[in-house]
Amino acid sequence: MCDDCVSNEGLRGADITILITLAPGIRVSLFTVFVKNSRTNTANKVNRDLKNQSSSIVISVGFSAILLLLVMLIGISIYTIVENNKSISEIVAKQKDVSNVFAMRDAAHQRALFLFRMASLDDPFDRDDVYLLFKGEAVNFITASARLREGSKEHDVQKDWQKTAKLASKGSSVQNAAVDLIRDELIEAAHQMILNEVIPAQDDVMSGLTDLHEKQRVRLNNEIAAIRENNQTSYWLITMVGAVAILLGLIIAVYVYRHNQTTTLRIQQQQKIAEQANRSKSDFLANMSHEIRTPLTAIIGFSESILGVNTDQAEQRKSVQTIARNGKHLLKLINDILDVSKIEAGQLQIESIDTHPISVLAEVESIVGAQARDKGLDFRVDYQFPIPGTFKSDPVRLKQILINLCSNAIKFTEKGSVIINVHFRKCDNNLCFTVSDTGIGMNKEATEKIFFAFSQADSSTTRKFGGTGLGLTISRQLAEKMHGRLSCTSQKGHGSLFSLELKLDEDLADSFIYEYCPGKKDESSPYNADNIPELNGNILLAEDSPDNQRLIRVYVERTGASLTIVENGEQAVEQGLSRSFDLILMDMQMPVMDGISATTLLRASGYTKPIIMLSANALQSDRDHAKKVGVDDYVVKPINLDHFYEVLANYSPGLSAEQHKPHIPDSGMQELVDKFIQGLPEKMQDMNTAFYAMDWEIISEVSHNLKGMGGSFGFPAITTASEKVNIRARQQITEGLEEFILALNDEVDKILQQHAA
Amino acid sequence: MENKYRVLIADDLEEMRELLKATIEPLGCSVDAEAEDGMEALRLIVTIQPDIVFLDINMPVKTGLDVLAEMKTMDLNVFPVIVSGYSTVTNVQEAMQLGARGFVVKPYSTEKIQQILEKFNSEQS
Repeated sequence: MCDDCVSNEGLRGADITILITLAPGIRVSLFTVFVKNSRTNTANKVNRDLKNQSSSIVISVGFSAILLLLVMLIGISIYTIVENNKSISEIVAKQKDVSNVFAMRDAAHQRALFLFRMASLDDPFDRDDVYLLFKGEAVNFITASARLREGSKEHDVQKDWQKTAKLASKGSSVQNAAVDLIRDELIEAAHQMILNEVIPAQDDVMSGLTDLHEKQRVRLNNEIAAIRENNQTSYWLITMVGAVAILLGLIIAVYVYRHNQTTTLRIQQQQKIAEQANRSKSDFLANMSHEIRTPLTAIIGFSESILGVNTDQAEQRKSVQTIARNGKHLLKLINDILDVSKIEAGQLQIESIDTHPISVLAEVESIVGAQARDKGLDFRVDYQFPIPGTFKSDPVRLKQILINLCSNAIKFTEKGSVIINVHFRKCDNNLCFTVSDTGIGMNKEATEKIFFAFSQADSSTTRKFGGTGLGLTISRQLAEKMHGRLSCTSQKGHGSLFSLELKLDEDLADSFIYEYCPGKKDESSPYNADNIPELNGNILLAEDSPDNQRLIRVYVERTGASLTIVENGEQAVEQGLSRSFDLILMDMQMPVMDGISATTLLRASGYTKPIIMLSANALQSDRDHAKKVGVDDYVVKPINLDHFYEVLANYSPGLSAEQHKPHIPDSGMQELVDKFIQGLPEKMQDMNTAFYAMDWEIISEVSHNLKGMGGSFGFPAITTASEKVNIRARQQITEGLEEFILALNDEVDKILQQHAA
Repeated sequence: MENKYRVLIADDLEEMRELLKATIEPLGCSVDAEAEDGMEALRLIVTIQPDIVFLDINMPVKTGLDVLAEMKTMDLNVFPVIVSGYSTVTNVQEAMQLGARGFVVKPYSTEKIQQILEKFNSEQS
């Protein structure tokens, strides 16, 4: 049993894919809407929205990433430049140190040279000149040394400087001593000192300075190497980040390009679907026109045949039956179209009430069984017990699906059988109905096509068997709405099998039945056309169409109730307020005042009896609106007789309905009545006098009063007669006035005579 | 209908007043006052503040519709019902617009009055 679950799952999956690719987003017209499956349409739309959303997310994330990378690039560049600037200023500083060391070396060197020159000069004046130069070099040395000390804060440099300064001061003191010897003309001693002390000290100073210079040079080289390294790192970083950014940009560009391409493709696809829908629409219109014309031809033809020639009663009866059958067929057609549009608009309501599969099937059998047997087919319902006795579902819609399936099966089967099988599948809690026939069957492509609106197996089917191809579409959609599914397997030439599987959510443990036990007869249709309720009472009909007036008069008078007909809402209000009706049948659309306004007004004025709305408008919103203004029930036109009688019987409490009788005062009021009768001659005197004087005002006033009082005191004849007088008096019409006044006098006389007796 | 409703009847014809009184008293109402014209009706409505007022349209001095219009300008907790021989829709509509809560057409049956009282009851509860 569960094997077919699996295979059906596959089939279902396949057709969903088809639907998704088919579902267009554009509603071209009412008819185009039909070809789409609203559910998959919504799913597809959601899907598309998701896609759009994800693509925009990808693009925005990609662009933000590129932006981030660019910011990184700029950061790295700025960092590198700042770092290099720092290193360059460092190098400049080091360069200064080096030049200071050079200056110190130069000064020390020059000083030594000047010392040697002093030692070699004989003229003391020349010697003094050189001495000044010698001193000057000392200043140069000290300045350069101070600059070096100031300029470089590095510990190493400071240490080297201290070492060199020590050596320099030692050298300087030895040189000074040599200079002193020279100035004292002790040249020989000076020479000796220069050779023994000054030159070695000078060598020390010079080598110290060379050392310092070498160290500074090394430091400078290090600094340059650092810059190079720094530049190298930045170079790699920038290259890598740049490459990533470019790659990302390329990816996004490709993505956007692809996305655009798919969008274009989708638009083209939608266009194709729209064209397809348009074709379906044309096909539908052509088909529909044929479908509507056929029954209409029968209706018009047979009506004319009844009107035209004198045919015998049996013949006439047959014609009328044909007319009725075709009319019903047309009605079914219109109901199907309405159902489809309701399903498409998402307005179809599915109920969830107690459903008895056995009584549903019994009803189906009573409706289609006869059709099958008329055609000579074997028709039966096979129960595979146990099945649930009741479950929550929509019995009306379930019946609709089954009748649809059976009608199809009967239509396409020439001989053999149509069998409904019902069983319960425990493994997945599914209640399964199958309708199998031994009819013409169809091939695989056709079984996939038939569930789409307006599709039949092929166009020759339409020509041969008729039909709009709406039934299965509706059935499948209804099944889906009822948490079930409808599928078909068929073999050309051997027959078809349709199976409806309803998923039951509830726990059914208690409700299983194990044998056939006919359920209660569905209480919704206790009447049929042969079972006319016996009613008594007054019914007011407000209806503008003379045909419908005639029809409803026939329907109502069969029940024994009396019917008063008015043509519009205004008259309905007037009559409803001035007379006692047990029930008002109110058409919704009428000239002058519509049914809704009339009902509103009647309810506001204190009319509490039932009002039944008649309307060709079957929409739930209209019903709700009608209920809101005080309508008790609703009968859809064309009138379903069973439903009509059921509503009438519900709202007219049968014979107990109070007859339209004027108020008859009880014994306690006899006094009042007597007083009224006693006052009558005087009033008539007033009226007669006024008539001879042609005093319209008094005639009008007296007749108005009598009209109001007559019926109230139990004399409706006076009211009727006075009303006639009153109408003429108000409009000042003399014609007929005298007759009516005389008639009123007669009525009054009659009452007076009776009273006297 | 155990509660006694306090009722005012305004009609220029004595017979009509008597008849209405005889009709509604068995239904659990006490007729507190009667008025012969619109002006008097209005005065009584303000002074005795009845629960229900039955107003004829065709009355001297002020018509029933005039009385309704005047009542509308005051803040009264009264249930006005028109009792009239004129059942034209224009009359009914005008009366409803002026705040009438019921419209009884003469000649009336006890049932009609009963329906009005039912409506009054249901709106009270």
